[in-house]
Amino acid sequence: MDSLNTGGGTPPAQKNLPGSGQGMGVGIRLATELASAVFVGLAMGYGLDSLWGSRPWMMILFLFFGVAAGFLNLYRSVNQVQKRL
Amino acid sequence: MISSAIAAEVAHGVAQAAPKMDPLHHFQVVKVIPISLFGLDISISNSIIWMWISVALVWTFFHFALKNARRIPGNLQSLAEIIYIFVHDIVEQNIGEEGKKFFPHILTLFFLVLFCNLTGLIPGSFTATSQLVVTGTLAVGIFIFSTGLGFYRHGAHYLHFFVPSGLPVVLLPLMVPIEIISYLARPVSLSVRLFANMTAGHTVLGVLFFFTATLPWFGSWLPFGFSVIFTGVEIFIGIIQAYIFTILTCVYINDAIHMH
Repeated sequence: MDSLNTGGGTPPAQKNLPGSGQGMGVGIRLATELASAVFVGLAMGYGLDSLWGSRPWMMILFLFFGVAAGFLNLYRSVNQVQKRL
Repeated sequence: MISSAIAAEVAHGVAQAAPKMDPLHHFQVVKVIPISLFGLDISISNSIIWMWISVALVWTFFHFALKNARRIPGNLQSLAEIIYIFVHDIVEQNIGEEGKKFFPHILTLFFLVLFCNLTGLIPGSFTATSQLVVTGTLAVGIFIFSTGLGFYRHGAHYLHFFVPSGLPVVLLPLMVPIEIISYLARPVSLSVRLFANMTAGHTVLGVLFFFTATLPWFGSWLPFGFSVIFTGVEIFIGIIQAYIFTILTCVYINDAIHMH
């Protein structure tokens, strides 16, 4: 009986682990998704500027690219999450 | 060498004796055994030592859980099996049949991140995953691996990843940089997410413990109660972050194999 009690009933508990925290995890994931793309765009613009000596312009252009990429990533991960739920 | 490091630590401790809020103190990387090889600094720091401890704990856990494995598992063995099946399901759902080749790698990654997160909650320990260098190295490794896998599988065709299908040629100069940035943002978001979660949580815990230690008795129970609750939240966040790190690794490998 003891071994039955400890061994039984594990499959439902396993399903609870991701389900209970999914909302919070998804929220954190989406927030960093947006921010990191903006940062990468900005860094790329800054790098191109110091390469070509065109100080503010590439940074401004790639900031907009970065924001667009951020929303693209956001959109894609939301789609992914919805498919899984 | 070691004694001087300890002396510096003691002097630091004496300077800290007066109550002064420093919630970032436990993120300080301290060289325990300074080693320099060909001008390269490969010192053993507390971060590395706690990563070793995490790895040793994973090994010990599996050693004792599967020591006398039986058909009807005991407590420890069923816990090990649950986590194993849990990661196995993540890999299967996200990559499919082909993902089984990468399963050992992903399971190892999951356990490393999980145990680094959880051992960091022991008072006096160091959270290796609260260093951007550590999480960044893991994320860049995954990024290089999945990109290499994509080029290995699809050759130059993998570059179509950056050109969305069915797009007018006029829009290409606009969309290609956006797609490239979106691709390059992957390791950044992967590493920053884990690092920021760990750092933020432990900083809050540090502030709460400081209040508990310095407030008079009638006030200290409040931050103490919060710190107990927040430690529970931190354990939860540690597990969730390891889960997200694993699932995103699977998503990136899946993208490399199946191209969207």
